[in-house]
Amino acid sequence: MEFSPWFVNKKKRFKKSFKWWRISCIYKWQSHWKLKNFGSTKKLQYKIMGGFKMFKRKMSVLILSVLLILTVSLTGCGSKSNSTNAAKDNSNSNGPVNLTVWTFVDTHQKFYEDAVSRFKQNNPNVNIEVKLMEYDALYDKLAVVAQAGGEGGPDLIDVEEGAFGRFLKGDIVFEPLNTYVEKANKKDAIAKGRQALYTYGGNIYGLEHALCPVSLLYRKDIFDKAGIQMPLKTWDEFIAAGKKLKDEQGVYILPVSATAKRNNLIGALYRQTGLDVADKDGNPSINTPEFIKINQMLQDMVKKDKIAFGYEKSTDATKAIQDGKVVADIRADWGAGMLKNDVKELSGKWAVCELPIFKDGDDPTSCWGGTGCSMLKSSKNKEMAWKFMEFAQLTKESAVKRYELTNLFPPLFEAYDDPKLQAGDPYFGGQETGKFYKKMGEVMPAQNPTWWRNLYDEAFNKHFVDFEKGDITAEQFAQSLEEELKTLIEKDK
Amino acid sequence: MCFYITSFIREEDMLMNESHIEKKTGVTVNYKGKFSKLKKKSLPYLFISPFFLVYTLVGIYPFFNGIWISLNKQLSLTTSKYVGLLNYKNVLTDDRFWNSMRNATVYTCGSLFIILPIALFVALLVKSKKLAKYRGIITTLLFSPNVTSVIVVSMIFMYFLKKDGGIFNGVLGLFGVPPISFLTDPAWAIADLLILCTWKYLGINSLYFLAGLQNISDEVIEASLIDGANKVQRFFHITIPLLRPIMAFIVFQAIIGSFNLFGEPFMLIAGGAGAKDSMLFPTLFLYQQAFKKFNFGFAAALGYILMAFLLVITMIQMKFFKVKE
Repeated sequence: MEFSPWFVNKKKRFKKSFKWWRISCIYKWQSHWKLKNFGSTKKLQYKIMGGFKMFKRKMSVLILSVLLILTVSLTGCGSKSNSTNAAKDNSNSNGPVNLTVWTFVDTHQKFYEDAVSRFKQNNPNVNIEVKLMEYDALYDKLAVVAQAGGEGGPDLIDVEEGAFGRFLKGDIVFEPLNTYVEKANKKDAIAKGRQALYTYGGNIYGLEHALCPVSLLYRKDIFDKAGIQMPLKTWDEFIAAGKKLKDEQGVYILPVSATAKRNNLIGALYRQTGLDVADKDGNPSINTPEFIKINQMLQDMVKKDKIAFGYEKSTDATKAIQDGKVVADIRADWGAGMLKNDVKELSGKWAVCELPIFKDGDDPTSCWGGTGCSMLKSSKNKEMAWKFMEFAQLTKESAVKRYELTNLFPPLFEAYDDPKLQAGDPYFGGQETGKFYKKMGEVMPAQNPTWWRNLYDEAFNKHFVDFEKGDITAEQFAQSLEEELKTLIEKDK
Repeated sequence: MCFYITSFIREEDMLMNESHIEKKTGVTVNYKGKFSKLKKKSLPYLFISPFFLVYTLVGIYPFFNGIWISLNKQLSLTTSKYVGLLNYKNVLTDDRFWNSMRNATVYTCGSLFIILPIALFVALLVKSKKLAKYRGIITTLLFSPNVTSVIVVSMIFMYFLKKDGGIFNGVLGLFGVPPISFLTDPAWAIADLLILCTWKYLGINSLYFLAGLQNISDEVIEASLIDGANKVQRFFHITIPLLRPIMAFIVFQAIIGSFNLFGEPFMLIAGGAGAKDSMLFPTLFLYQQAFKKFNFGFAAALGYILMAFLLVITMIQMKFFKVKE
């Protein structure tokens, strides 16, 4: 605070008071004069400012309010107005029919776009838009769309088997396809195990893209050099071969995940024994001798015998395969397609064979993954959507095209005799992989659909670290897994 | 005559409100324009209305709608049932919720006692006279991690922290330390996040501190020098007390940011929750409950509980820092 005696600011103070006195005089005078001459201040203002300033002000208010209305309508109702337009188009029977397909893999997008162009030749009155989204985003969006009663949602959607379970609780958003399939007389067109994956409570909710048979891919050159006769009959023989390869050539026989991602491989091997994490009635069946044995075997391969390469990221495994550190892998048909893409330089050195078994009666193959095409209940053009779905999923032409474009082996029986599927694959040294996959498809086990499959992943995630570190045994692991899963299911019911 | 008057009146005087003039001059000015008063009063509200309209739409409506959602249990994607406060009870008795809160608390302690002291130290360093010449460059460098996307930073750190071929393990290997599985070992989960967030949030925090330091006037420091205070005394008795207002803000930010941490753990563990839920944070848990399990009611209740919790912490903290405004 500055201090000053009263006389210092006298001049200033006088100036200030004079200023206000002056203004008051002006206003007094002005209002009197205005009222006398004009009767209203508005007219005077126009007079004084020549009208221009007022015009400017009015215009700016007008522009601002227009902008305001625009922003509100854009933010609030933008998407709604679009979808209502689309709905209008759809209800109009004379205009073109609009369909939307959502998918999460670029290979599927490629296939769908090809299918659309072929479909349009016979059905020119239809527009089909194929939208590619990120995996998680797709299902998050589907959840939101379902909450909104299907507004702005797709007609057809690709549902991965891992995500399918989430949507099975209560009121299901997918359209049951039973009547459509029966009408088209395609009930037995698809491999049974694949159909079961998307069948819940007797209703078919999706049509599979790929057969997904699991096989053993191996480096033929290295196995021949070691003098190992393929295919191997049992897993014990496989482990012995692994030890031989490790001792003689210093290479790993298998990549095995060191994280909870291992549950995919465990699941595939478990289904080989005819069991599944969920039994036929949808109850957990985990604490079994088979499950314990598989876990122990994989753990020993990584930790005790050190014949398997334990990796943290799948890119590490790919790199190890590329470098020749790992000489075999267990993969489904789509995994083989990924291998072809990722490890191009080893083309011609690979071969495919069936999996070793644990005991007599086990399947020499298994199933791993899969994606089905589903129709939403909220679709406004179910007839046309089914027509396209049937064309894409249940015709020989599309199935063969899909195999050509994306290496997904079709689950459709009638396509198997096609020469394109029978041809030898140069990547696998000219081996007729199509024929092999067909043979595997006939004996392939099924995966039982349940709504709680992601809860199993959660429980697995929780207890696997302890097992991997060696803090608990395989028996304890299986037991705690089943207990955890049961409490989780109870909680979520 | 009229032109004379208008030139005599300054623009700001012309724009003055009637009541204003009345207050200053004691003269009642009588305008008789139709609706002019109403227009004059409502025009400013029209100008500020876009923000409030949007805020009502995306802020206030969801807040109250969320309360309604939290009182319902989701039976399926499209159907729900009123259950009262059951969701709140379920959240408060959920082990995973408390686990996530524990993780967040440990991380908060880490960020308060590791990141902030380092940030203060860096700020003091930048403030020092020797580095005055390079202050611009240093602050730019410090700030750059903050404008880098969380996704990119997390992806890069994921490769740094890998067990095989990661830089951290490579450097430790030079000293004969066996490789550590940073990303899969639950004991290392929070440490991973702290390493990442120290790098990412050090700059912005030290800039806040720097702003606070620059507000401390030289006179006070000179006075303390004259009184014979040494560097340590000056730091504890002058710098720290005078930094209190900015410190309150930084601590407040750090606590809320820690409990709302989402992007970093989400990316580091690719959408899961880490081994044994070691990277499960409340917001991550909320997301998983809402979009992976469709327990929207549970997720909404969790959100409100988290909000109440943070509100209490903030109030305690305001008392602690004696923030009045």
